[in-house]
Amino acid sequence: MKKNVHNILIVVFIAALILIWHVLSLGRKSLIFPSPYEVLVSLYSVIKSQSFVPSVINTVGSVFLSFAAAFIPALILGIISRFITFIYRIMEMVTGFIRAIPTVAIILMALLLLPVSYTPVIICYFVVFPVLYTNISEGLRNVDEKLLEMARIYKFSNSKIISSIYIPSLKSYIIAGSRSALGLNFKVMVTAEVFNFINHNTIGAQMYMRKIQIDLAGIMAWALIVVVISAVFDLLIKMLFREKVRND
Amino acid sequence: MIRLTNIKKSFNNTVVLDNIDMQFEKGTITAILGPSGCGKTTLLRIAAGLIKADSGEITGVDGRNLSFLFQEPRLLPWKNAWKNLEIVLPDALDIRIKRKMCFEMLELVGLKGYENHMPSELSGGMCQRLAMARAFIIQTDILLMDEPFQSLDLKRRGQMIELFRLLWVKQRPLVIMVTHDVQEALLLSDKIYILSDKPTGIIKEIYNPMSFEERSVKNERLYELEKEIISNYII
Repeated sequence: MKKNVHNILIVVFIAALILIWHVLSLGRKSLIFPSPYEVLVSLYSVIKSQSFVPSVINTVGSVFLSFAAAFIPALILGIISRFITFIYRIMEMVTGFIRAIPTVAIILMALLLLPVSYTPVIICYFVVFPVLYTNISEGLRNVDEKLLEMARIYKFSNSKIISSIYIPSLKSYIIAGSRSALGLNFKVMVTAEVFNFINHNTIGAQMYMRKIQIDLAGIMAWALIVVVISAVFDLLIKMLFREKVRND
Repeated sequence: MIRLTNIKKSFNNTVVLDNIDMQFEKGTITAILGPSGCGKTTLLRIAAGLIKADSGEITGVDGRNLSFLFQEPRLLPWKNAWKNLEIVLPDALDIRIKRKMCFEMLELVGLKGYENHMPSELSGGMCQRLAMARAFIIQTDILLMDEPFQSLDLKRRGQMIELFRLLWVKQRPLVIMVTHDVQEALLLSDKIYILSDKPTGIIKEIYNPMSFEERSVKNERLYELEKEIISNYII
């Protein structure tokens, strides 16, 4: 009952936002401020276009490539830094430094220094890696010492300690890290693709073309598509781990 | 038999334990009684091998099956009640046997019907009973208890003491119990070491005049002894 009320309130809230958007767009040209309807029409034409599927596949593929490329070293370095304080301190410094560099600086440096075709993936790697590493490292450092003591008393094997204490403790940190990293990854990937205009079939390139054509409705339509894709993957991560929890 | 000889331990140049000599016989329950913060828990953790003494010797613990009832239950929050028991059983045991053992133990501690409940779905008293079930489900040689009933209300504390007595007579492991509750020490233990405040040393070693079966809160002799200990050594 309470959940239904919440769902109704969310729908009302979204409807109110669309209404405000519509009212604000009244009397303005779509070039300056497109109405929700115009964005919807543009969205339909984007989805029907031949470049839609390859653009989405290329961008999502690049997002996953950079995510996987960042996740594996983040996990390995997170584990190493749990047991070697020196590595932990070095990594704190390195990730802190990367985090502090403005994303646009990373993009511009990568465009000048790296092979063009891989640039968006490498840019995303540098943006996503600190997020994943920090979450994994913190998760491992926050494993309940009292449970580890209990495991020592009852003579748990190392594999049992890992599977029954470390992995479950880390789960919530991995979920949180993966969710924020993936959301960030989509945003940075599209930005990098806008700057790195060599492949026309990417979401960033499509947005860039709309910008040249001064097609604000088209840009908003693609932005909406990115939001939906990002939300779907966020939901998938949540569902994947929820299922795992039930199986334990 | 476990023997602690000349155990010394300091934290930040403060001597906590000073030349402690203790002896714990097989099949007996020994209470270590002392004021809060006197180093009782430190002593127990040294005996368990969780921390190292600065000097001294511990014999009789290595190679023996050990259980520990902590102040808090220390259950795995992502495992249900029976899985929290199953995890301490030897890996080589067949899962059906392990399941049967766990379910029987849960019934014994009054948690029948809660086998698939997660610790977060159980009350504090139930979690402590589950922790006690975990301590006894393995054929334990030595059981160490660090004020396990402290957080419970009077009624539940009484129930837990009765449950402990029921489980203990089945296996009769060597028990070392840390407490600051004189009545609890007298009800359960055969021998009591009374410790002084820091730097902690043994001020008295008392043997319980009542047998395990005779001990009860209503026993006059035990009540007199309790008053004597409180007036002579605790206050």
